[in-house]
Amino acid sequence: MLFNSYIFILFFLPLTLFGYYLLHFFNRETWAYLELAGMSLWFYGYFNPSYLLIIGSSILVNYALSLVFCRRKETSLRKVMLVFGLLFNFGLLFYFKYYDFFLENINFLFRQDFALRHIVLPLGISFFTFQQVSFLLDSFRGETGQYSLLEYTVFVTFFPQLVAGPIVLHHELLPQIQKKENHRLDQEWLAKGLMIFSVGLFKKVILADTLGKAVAWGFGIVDELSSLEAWIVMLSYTFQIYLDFSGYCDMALGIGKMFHIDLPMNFHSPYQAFSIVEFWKRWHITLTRFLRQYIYFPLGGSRKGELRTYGNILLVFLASGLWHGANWTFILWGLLHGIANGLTRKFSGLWEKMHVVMQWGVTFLFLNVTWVIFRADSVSQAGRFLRKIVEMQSFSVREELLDCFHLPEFTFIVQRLHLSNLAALFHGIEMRLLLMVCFVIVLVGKNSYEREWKVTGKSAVMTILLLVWSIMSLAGVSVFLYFNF
Amino acid sequence: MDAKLWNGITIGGTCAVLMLLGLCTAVIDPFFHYHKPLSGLSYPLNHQRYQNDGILRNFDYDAILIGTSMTENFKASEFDQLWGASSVKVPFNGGHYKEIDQAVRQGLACNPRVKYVLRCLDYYFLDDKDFIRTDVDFPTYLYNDNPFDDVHYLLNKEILLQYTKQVITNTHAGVPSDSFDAYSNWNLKFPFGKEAVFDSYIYDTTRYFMEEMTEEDRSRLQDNLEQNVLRTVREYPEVTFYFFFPPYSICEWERYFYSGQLEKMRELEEVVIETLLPFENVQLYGFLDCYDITCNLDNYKDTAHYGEWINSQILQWIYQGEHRLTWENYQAYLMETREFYRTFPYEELHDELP
Repeated sequence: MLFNSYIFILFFLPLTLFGYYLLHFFNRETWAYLELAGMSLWFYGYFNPSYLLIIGSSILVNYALSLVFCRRKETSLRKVMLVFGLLFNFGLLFYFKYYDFFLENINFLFRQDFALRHIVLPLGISFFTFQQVSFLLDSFRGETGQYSLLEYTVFVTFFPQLVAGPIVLHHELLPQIQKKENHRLDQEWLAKGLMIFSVGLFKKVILADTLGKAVAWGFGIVDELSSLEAWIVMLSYTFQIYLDFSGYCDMALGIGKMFHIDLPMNFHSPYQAFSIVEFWKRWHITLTRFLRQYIYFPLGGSRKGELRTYGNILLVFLASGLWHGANWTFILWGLLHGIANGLTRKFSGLWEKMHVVMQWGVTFLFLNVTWVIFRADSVSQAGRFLRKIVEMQSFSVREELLDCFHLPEFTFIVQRLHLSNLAALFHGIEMRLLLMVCFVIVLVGKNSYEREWKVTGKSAVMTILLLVWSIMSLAGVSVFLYFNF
Repeated sequence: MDAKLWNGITIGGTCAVLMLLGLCTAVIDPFFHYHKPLSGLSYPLNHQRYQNDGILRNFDYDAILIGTSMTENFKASEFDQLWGASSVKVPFNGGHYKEIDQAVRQGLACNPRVKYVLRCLDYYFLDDKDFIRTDVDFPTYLYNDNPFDDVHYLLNKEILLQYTKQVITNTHAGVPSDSFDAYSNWNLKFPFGKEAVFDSYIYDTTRYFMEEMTEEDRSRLQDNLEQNVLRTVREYPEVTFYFFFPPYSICEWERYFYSGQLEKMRELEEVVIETLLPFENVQLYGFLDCYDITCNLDNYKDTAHYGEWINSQILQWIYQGEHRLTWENYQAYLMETREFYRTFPYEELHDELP
């Protein structure tokens, strides 16, 4: 199930909240956990119930291992179990996410013809695997308490963070769920949750999905793009990926608040960063935290000499790239970010001397270019796209691209205000306005964690507007293209 | 402000506004999902996949004109005049057998008054019996009886701001509702003639091996016919089904000829004819022997699509029973047309190219 769907907003979320607080109201704590876990599993298995087997087995194995770590003190046994646990988790991830990619490369390198399995990637497997690996490692170090299987299941499956993060650690979530004071519906938290959810929904449905149409169009016809079109599509994707992902995280944060639970910050206005190092302190923070804590530090971090430090940075970013997807594009993307990080560190003195506008500009341009690689189907497609960017050959923009930015409500408002003639003077006005709004949001707007969510008449009107606008935009009307009749 | 009050206002306000907006679409109902057009309002007919099901469910009619784009230029008024009927035209451009049959069944199930179904049988004979176009999101919520997924219809800004609003705008502007003559009629939108037809395809004279119908083809065709044509014919013996093979132009047959499909198409058509003829409530028509039509490219906008005057002619012929295929004439028809399209001097078609 998706947050941005009718069934979720109009049925699943109210029902789950109602059941959860009702059971707590009658002091049925176990039942409330059961309800939360059950509804989360429904949420997860909504599109494909067979995914439940994967997440179910993953939960059971990891929980059983954590019990071993809690109860047995023999170092050798614990180490064997840890290795088994890591192999199990990464094996599962490897099989579902990387198996075909691995075979493709074997086939290419050794001129083999191993049959690909075309495995469908289970939703959120990268998220719940990392979440459980962190739990396993903490449990191995004796840093976790002993949770019941039900509590552990709630921790892993808690639906707001299940499919797209943030990657929550056990000590961030479970104590909040267990806390008695949090078992009562808090009107203040509910209100804040609604406000944050509405903003996230708006970012996803109105902004990101509209930009997504232009991006899909552009990446569908890379070789035919003019240079200006390529620039527009590149910028659109830079905004889309941020608004999509952070919008989803805002929704998760908002829903968490409705359950009286604070989820950790995942985005901190990343496009306001003045360097790539800073960007990674602001972008997908919980993933960076995981990689730092469980890869970078164990490898020695920056304590083992300069060369090792840069090597470790590169490794972490390669892992990050690979985590995002099974394609050389992601590996290249990770590698470039790793190199940029290393270079910024190495030449930090020089970087600091640069004017801030220049710092921001270079960082933002680098992000744009690397997002192209991230989005492309292949490295060669990314190359062709970027060639269009630098060629600066044609500056025409086709109507098809402008149409991608069309919002029927814009036409409606313009007509109502009798501004049609004025709007017609500016070719592609919807595109210009949308990109401008996105710029303002990412550069000036406060993020959901910084903003004060005040319960006022104005915020009520704003929340109603955003909710209505977004919910009315969840479905569209398909155009049946039939070129040849 | 008190948080409880804030929540009440926000949740209540959101629900109220959503209900109000949903109500607009529910009441006006531009896709006829709940009711036929309200009198006094002007309804455009402009989205087949979104409106056809509603038309079949809720309009008053006793005849259905249905099929692919080969039926889009039919004028329902002409049919009504000839048959003394009250028909609806529900074309599905690019539609395949299953989709069209489902619509026929919907119409027959919703409306027991139906006496006639006029349907074209396109040469997609070897469709898998369950093939339905999946290249777009289909509005399944309009086709099923589940009231809960209607939320996609009611809380949908594109429908509200484009389709629901257009009904109001047209009504205010005094524009009348679209008729079933105008619905999906594209006759004025395209140029016709040799140049247009030749522009619509790549002339390729590479001759491929002439294929013949295999047993697998036959069984695939029969499965398709059984599920998507015959079942409905059998279940509604009191309804007269007029089926016709659309007269594609000579250039379409040229393509069949060079690609090695011609023989197979004629054999498949023979199977269709022999399968349908035994039914008393079926009348079957073939116009491939109307060479003055198929060989005159002024009638076509591309290799297959003919102008509205051909649709009018087809209605006339069907009403008069001309070009009807029967046990007595179908073999001669098949033999003659097979010979004609097999021996046609196709290269001469292109000789006079500008």
